[in-house]
Amino acid sequence: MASRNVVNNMKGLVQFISDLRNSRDSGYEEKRINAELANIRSKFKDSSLNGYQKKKYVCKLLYIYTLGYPIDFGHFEAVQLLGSQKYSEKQIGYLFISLILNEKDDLTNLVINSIKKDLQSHLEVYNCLALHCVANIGSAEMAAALSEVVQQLLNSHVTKPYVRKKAALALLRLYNKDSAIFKPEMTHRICTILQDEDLGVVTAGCSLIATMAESNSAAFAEAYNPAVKILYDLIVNGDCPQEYIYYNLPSPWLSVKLLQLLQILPAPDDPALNNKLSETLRYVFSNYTIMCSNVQQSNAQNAVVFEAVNLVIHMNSDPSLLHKCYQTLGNSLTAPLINFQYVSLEAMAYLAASVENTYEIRKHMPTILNSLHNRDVSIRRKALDLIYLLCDKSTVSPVVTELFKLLSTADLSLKEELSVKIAVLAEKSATEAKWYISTMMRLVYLANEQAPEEVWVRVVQIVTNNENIQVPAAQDALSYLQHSVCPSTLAKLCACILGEFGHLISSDPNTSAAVQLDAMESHITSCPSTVKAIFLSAYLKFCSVFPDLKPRILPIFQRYSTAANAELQQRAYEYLMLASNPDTTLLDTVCEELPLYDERESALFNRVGHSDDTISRSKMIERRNSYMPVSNGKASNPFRTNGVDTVGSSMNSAAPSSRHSVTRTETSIPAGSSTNADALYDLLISSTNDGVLYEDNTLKISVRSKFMPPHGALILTFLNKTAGALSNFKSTIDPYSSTHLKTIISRDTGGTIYGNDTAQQTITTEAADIFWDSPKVSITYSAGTPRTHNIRLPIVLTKFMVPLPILAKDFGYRWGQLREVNLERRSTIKYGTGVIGLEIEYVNDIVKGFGWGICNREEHAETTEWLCSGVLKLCLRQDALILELQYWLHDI
Amino acid sequence: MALQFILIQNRQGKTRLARFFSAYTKQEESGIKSEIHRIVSTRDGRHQSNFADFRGKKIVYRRYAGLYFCVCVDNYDNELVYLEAIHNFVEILDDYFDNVCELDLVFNFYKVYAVLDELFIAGEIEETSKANTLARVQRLDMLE
Repeated sequence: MASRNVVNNMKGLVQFISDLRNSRDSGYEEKRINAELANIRSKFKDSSLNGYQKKKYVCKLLYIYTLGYPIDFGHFEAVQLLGSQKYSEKQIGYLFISLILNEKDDLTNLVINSIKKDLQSHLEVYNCLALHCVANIGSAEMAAALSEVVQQLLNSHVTKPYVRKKAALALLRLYNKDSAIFKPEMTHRICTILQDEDLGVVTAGCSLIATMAESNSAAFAEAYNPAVKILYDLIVNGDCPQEYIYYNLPSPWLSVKLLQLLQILPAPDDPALNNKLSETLRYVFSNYTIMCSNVQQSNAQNAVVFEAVNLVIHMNSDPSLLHKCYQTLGNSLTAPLINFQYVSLEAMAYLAASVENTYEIRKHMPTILNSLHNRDVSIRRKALDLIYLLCDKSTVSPVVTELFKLLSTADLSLKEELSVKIAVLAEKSATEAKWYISTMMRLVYLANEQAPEEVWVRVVQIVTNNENIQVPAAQDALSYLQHSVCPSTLAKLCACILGEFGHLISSDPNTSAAVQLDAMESHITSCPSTVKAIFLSAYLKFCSVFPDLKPRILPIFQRYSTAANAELQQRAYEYLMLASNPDTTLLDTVCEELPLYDERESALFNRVGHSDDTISRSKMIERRNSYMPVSNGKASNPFRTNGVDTVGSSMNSAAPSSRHSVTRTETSIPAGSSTNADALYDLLISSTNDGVLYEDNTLKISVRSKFMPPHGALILTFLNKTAGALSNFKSTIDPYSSTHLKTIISRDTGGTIYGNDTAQQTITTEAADIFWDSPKVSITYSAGTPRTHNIRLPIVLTKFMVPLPILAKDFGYRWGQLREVNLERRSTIKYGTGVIGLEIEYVNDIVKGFGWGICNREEHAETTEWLCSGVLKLCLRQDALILELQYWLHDI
Repeated sequence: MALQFILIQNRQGKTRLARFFSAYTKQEESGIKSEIHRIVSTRDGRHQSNFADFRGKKIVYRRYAGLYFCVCVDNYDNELVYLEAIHNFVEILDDYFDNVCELDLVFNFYKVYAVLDELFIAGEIEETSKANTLARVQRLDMLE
């Protein structure tokens, strides 16, 4: 036992921990833990346990939990501890609840009453424990039940400072869970928090205001003035209580929060106030940037400096301040501390994306390019982001050369991102068609499988849509195939291009059809079957264009029609039949040229080869989270993903509609009358695929969706309800929201939605495995002030269910089978209390809406019973599911 | 929300404290713990920054002897201010336990959470004053 000041007075717990620490191997540890769990279980059966004992055992459970073992009991005892009158017992009860439960657990609802009691207690220490719990695991249900009590604590004059600051943050949590708790009349009270004498309260209050103002910035405009004043007093006057000084600096955390808040609130037209702010910022730039020997102080100072830089970029009004920013960023870029280089690269990217003229940043290009080879992958990635933003037509060629150097040495995690960026840069800044094609081919050659599918598919699309690059593309493709080594992705690309455009170069004897066939044949035997399939399709196209080559090609189809791979076998056999049919009408129809890809999507890319076009650097961002285009490499990927099935559909132009059906859009969407977002959402996930996803005074988002498990497509329609334009419209999928779900925005809106106009966006999704969280899309735009909405998409697991009714007589047998292998679950769901009952047909619709096929339905006097079955179709698994639903009209 | 989670792990990857402010399943939580350990333990403290990318967000971490203190923040958040928030937390633990070591965090794990609750709740920085926090936790320790 190491500690001297702090005494752990639970002897049994200390003994238990020591025991486990002394265990030689994990086998002993597990045995000891199992024995202890059994012991605790039996103790809990004893109703005469006193509070101390309960606390001790719950604490042991918590320790076992922290070691990584699952805990499935003790909840009841923990809830009892919540009701204890002793602080230390209550504290352990709350710790258990906040660690073991999370907001999604139903059990959380059971503790709401205990929490409420503690919130209303006259003992501030109880208030605090309850507030911690609300702040850490608060849910939408808690928001409904507790937000008023929390607000009372926040507003009351008798509340102590440490309770107030916790109440502010608990309210923030509840607001995040349910924004409906916000009422406009609250704003004034909330803004007065900034005038609190206690800096801890002000710090917490800043977070609360910043969060609420994100979506209602105008409502909190009155906070601007006090925020500037506190900042000025803190930084310029050094007016700060001793306990908030951190390494000679008045609370850097509060300074940063205030600077962040000022980026969210609308700036008033008040010259005196603006001068005050400018003076503060100047003070920061001249006094905080001095390097000091203490690393803590340096970090804290620079935290403030970089936030000041962000604010200056955001205001973008004072050239002299902007100049200071350039100086500061230039200095830290070459600073010996690597953390500062990182932050500096990040801030430069923000700057590059915000200002018109990037000359000042480009002065540092050699250093930035050098950072691409830094030892730290985090730095390399930041440098890449920045270079991506700085690159334009004049620099694209040397930049891409440098990126190619990096590509050959980069580690796997960076390669995908890098290849996407090279592809996009090549596309948007290319001045010569030939350069574009050779760059892309080289990219696919070097990155091979590390480049996402979309890259090579995109090349095919661009070549198809631009006649002037088809000849050089075919020439390059042939010459790559003539190499002895041709990576599989490149082989796919080359085969596709030759199949489609090989005939354009066949008049030259050096590149005749026979030569092309030779080149392809040298690779087909050694490549994987997905690539072979594309080779076969290319051969088929050759059969159509060069009938005299049939004698060479048919035996190849013959050979693969006995291939072990079933897909390949079928394809080869079908091709054989098609090509050997003396009537070539069908063959020629199937092999018709690829139709042009959707114009709107390729609009940007039609510029390839037209050097007179000026393509401006992407410079449209308000909030910084949207400028990181490739932080996960996928979300911002400009390549569309639906319709990429060039393998299948290009061969089969008889069914082109399948490729376009997902992107076809319609505007007539039944609007829900209610604006309650949650109710709308519930409707969207349970019974309908089309409806309104979000609506406020400015914007209405409707959705149409179609699911063909394991895939799905959603079309979002944005309606600008105001007369003015919504600019910088941008949406990104939160890549973190669901790991088993791959969700991509495959078609973006144009960036601006004009008054009373609509814009559309297509999102595709693919479920790999079981997932619980719906992906979120973050929508940012500017309507005078920047706004952000985070919106859950109506993509839930049940959307990937396909109804598959089985015979009612088989139902019992199947059920028994599953029960035998322990795959049966039962639960009771109560629908409200005192509700007379739902319409049977409503329940029926919900069952169907969740993707169940109804095998049988029986209605009795008290109950209605459904037998249902369905298949959950995901990429990695398919599960057949059966459901027996008993619906009781009255409480049982 | 600013902070997604806070983790304290030792060099072997044993978790000494974990507070998740976003709702993850237990399975996701353990996945995150092992992924974070893999990321931070393989980084070189002398030549690399204290920031690492993590699933579209960012890890800000500091190493103290055998312990890694990691926080996960949004991509556009101020890294340096969280770097110092970690240090502030460590200094407070150091005073509270009078020269803190890993064993203190093991035997008094529930008290470490109590300190944490004074500094970070709801994924936000709550209090930054060392003196105020210490006075507060020491007073709470006296309560039965």
